[in-house]
Amino acid sequence: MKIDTEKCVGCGNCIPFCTMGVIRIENGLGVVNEEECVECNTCYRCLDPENLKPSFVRGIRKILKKLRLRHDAEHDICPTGALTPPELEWPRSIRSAFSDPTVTHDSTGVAGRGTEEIKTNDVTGRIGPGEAGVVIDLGRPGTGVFLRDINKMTMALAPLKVSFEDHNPLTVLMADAKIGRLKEEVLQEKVLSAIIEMKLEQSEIISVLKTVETMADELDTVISVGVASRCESDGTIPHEKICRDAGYYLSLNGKTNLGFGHPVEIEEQK
Amino acid sequence: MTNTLHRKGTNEELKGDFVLFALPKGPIPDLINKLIKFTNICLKHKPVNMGKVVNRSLRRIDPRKMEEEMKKSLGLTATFNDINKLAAIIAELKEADLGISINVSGLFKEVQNGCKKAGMSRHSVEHSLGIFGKKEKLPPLPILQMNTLCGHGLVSFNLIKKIVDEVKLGRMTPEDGAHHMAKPCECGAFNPSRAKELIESMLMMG
Repeated sequence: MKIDTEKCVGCGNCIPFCTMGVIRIENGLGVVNEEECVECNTCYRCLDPENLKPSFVRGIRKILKKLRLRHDAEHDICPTGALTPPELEWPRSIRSAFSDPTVTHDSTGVAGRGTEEIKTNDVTGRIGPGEAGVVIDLGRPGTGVFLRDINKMTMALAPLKVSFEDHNPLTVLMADAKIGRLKEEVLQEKVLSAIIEMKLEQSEIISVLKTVETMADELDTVISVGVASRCESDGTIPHEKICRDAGYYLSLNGKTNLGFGHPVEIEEQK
Repeated sequence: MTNTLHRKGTNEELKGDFVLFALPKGPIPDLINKLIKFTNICLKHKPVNMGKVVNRSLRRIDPRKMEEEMKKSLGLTATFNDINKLAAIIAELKEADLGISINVSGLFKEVQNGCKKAGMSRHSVEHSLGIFGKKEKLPPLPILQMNTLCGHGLVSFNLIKKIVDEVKLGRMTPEDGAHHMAKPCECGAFNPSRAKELIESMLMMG
């Protein structure tokens, strides 16, 4: 994000909206730490521009200060419209593609960070009987992650019996998916979060989770982990016992695909 | 997207929070009318937030203007604050037979009960295994509970702290605070009703 220094009046309204906490006021103006900014554009989307003249706002503020008065403006306005999303070039454009849900990945055509996991499993059958899906959401919650850290994780996971989801935007950024290596030019980019998405045999779940746990301690971020599988005909969840027996915590809540989707082939036959 | 997988709370707290979302995949005949039906089923059960389709992607609405916002829009996400509505919604969606993948993010036990009542079995399930790594970077639990209501993590830790402070100072009500926090969430998965409860509990904690 860029802040137009000609327009900024240093009101600081953008500071709390910054998902990474990297906007500060310096010499009366808003400043973005561009190394840490993930280009999520949340500040720009949430602060409505009033488009007042900066000289007018500054003048009013000086008068109020002299009178020892304070004006508390609305929290979600930028009085002068100083926030300006820059045109991002590759590889910095990755930041926005992963961090701003209104931006579509050029590589996958999907907005946001991942693909559809189990959410369309009733239609695609992507995760079948005996298989599991593991999603590793790096940088979440609220911490952000550099792709160099993601690279360490993908390279640690690649030797295991997993297949990275082809249509996941991180997989698309791999120079060599067999060894899980991301392209060199993207490693210094930072995103709000990104999901490594894998399919594996259920018998491999625990070895994958152990690797994630070990690697997580070496990375400068947090990781939210999810495990999915297709239910048995009686509704039993196959991965539940596997994870519990190995001592992993399982949430009370999560996602359930209700199975209302018609598989594509069936729909075509109709 | 795992945007609703990691919502946090106790069993009791999560009874006031579930999200329904439709994901059309592949060639679906008469898709627009099917999504209109999905939207209407959701609206009938009074969601507390929704995400609408704009230019083929999801955009937030102002939840306080739900009827007006959704009058001519298609919804893909609907967030509810009462688990007792779930079984009826599942039954109505089954009856509608839209042929679209529909997921619920909420308490597994309640979702399974809803499926049983509708005479069906769930298809696939995804659990959260919690947070690994540098947890020392994270704020206290109530702030995490709020932050994870937006799956993309767009409600920053600092915004939550700021709004709670504003409520403490009497500059806004917990309800107004909750709606301020809903603004960054683009998918309509943020639950302002639960957010209000969280703000109130944070006020109690001082």
